[in-house]
Amino acid sequence: MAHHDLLIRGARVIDPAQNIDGIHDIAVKDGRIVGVSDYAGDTADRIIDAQGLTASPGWIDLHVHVFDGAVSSGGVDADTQAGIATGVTTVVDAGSSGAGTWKAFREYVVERSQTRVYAYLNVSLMPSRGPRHGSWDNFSQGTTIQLAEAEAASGLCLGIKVLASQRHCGNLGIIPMQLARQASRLSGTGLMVHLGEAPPIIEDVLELMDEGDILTHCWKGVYGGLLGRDNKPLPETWAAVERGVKFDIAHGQSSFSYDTARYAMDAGLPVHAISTDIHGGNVKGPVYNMATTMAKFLHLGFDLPEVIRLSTLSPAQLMHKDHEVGSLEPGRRADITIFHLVEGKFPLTDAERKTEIADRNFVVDYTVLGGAVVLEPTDNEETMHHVSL
Amino acid sequence: MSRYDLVIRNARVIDPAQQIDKIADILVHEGKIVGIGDYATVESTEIIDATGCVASPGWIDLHTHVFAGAGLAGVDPDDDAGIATGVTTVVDAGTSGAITWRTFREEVIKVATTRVLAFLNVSLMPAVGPRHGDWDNFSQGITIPLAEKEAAAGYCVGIKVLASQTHCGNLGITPVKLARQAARLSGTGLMVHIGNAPPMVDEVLNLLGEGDIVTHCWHGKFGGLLGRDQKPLPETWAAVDRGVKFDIGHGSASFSFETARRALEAGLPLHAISTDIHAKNLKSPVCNMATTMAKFLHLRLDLGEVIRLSTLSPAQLIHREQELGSLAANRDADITIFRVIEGEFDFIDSERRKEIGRQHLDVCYTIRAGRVVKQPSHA
Repeated sequence: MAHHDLLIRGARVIDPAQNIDGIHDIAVKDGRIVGVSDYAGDTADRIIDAQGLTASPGWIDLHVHVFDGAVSSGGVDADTQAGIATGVTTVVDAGSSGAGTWKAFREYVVERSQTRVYAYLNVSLMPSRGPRHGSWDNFSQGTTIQLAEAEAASGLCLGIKVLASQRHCGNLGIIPMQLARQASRLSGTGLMVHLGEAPPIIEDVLELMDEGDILTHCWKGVYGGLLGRDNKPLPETWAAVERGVKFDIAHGQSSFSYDTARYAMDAGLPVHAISTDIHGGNVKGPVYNMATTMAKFLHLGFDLPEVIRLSTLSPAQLMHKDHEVGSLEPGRRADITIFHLVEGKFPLTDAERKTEIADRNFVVDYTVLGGAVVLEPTDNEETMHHVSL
Repeated sequence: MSRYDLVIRNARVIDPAQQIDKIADILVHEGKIVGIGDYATVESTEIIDATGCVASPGWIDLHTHVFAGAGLAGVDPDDDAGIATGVTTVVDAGTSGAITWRTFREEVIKVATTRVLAFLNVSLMPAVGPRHGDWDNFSQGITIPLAEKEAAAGYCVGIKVLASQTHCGNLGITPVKLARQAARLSGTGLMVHIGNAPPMVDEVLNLLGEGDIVTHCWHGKFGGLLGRDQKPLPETWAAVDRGVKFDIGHGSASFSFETARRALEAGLPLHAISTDIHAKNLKSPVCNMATTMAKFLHLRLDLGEVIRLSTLSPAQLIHREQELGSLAANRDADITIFRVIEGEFDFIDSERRKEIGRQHLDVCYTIRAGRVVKQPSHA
């Protein structure tokens, strides 16, 4: 008989990293997972009765904006809007900051947030001007590459972000993409590429991407995405899949379409991360939060363990941080999201402003971060978005 | 015996679509072709005695500018480019982008007696220069659905891009890539102007596939389809093999007798004779479709071939050969009646080189949907 700091009793535990899906207890001590097992005889300082609830590794949102930059409507708060208040224990900022603002981002956001924050460094020095990559003097490979390498070594930076779209690239076309790829390769870090309206052309963008590089906004609607006029994947899309390019959702206010999603699923295209692209312009809809985004994938027919995998283990693998986050293995930092599904009629709107009625939605009950209970069921009524018809 | 609207008597009828070249009558009723044959005894409201004349399907000029835009002053679709000159169908080559399209459609396309079809410019507003030169002059999200919708409505035949330094400014090959994407995703055609580099012609050609149209194909500038040895580039032959189509688009700077002869000697294909007529070349060197066609007689193409390249073949390039470019029964009766006249004629190419031709075409009548819309000037 052992005594723990925290015992979560009787939850349906889903941990894709360990192939666990069953009713178990989770024991936590000194901020770390003791195990997922039957701890019926054990005691703890805090016991959560999780019967009827589901416990998963703390959710990871691979695409957020928690700093003012790159998005004109501004970032959101890492804890109260993107992170722990919504069941998300790890957020990845998708290039809101370039080298020019990195110090401020690190000091004022990363170091002051409870939620674990990782980040892609924008290939532009100052991504807040528009077009964001549109001028030659907004780049300095000498500054960006060294910073990416140093901040990757310190554990914060995951790689380089570039926004391969007309609005961001202005007259520079494919050049920012080429610079980002160079910065990623020479710093030994990852690459995340935003897909938007051409130019640059999707075929040229995909051609520059390779194994492990992440294409974000992968199932956006309208013109110039991964699908051709026949709504089937372009040859270049399949070639990218074959090379091991990874695909991230990043819902946002204009980058997720139910139609595209269904065509992509019909075609058998892979997806590797469910994420929000949450920022000031979409936090009040259509994105709201990670739970709402995950609910859309249940609605599309993904089963719950797969939705969890795409929000925990799989993004952790894309970040090359799967030894740190995304699992409930013994010894890991105890980041745990406890939630339940509610039934009803939930109008869920995609980024094309198309509303479909889903019959299930997520309610986050507890967020556990490094063993500390940072969200209780009574805290979350305002942050969750549940309107049942 | 019923009474018909119009009979054209005793013409040399040339209709490449039906492989017809013979002396015959053409019978027209209620705007449609009834047939080609011996109609000496039919009763008709109107009779044209076309003895000594040629009657062909109404000419199609695949490359015109009949709207103000793309840095050009357009010409009148009826009086300058169309029915007054024997042309029953003009295709506007991207004078309008999406921003001005509604005006173009309402004030020109729908108003003209001449049938007007159009390529939509890939730039939103091609009237500013460089015409494709700035990122904010594009919106694929506007251009693609507009092209698709206006193609369904029967007005738009595809996307136009001007792959030359004057038009692309600092953007190089990017506008061509955007145009190709817009064409593919809207399911419409693609017409690509070639001119001075950048972008390079080999890079442009490599982006083109079956059915895409290169216009100004026999221009006399550096950087065309021929290399320094005056032979086609490997990329040119590769484009030919892929089924890329070639349009003349004469214009003020885009047709050279010299290039034409080299291309003909090399056996390069040609798919359309067209004028690129606009306000600055109307008086010279283009003048009109008849003059442009006569230059090809001068280059020793035979009359049947010149007619084919001005009727059936351009209709095929815009996928309208089921409606246009033939005198088959039940088609809209678009007919051009002209004389081949002998003499000495000055023909000037876009390199300002003058040659003396022995034959010219003199348009006598234009018939548009069964209606006589141009008569001989002496009549």
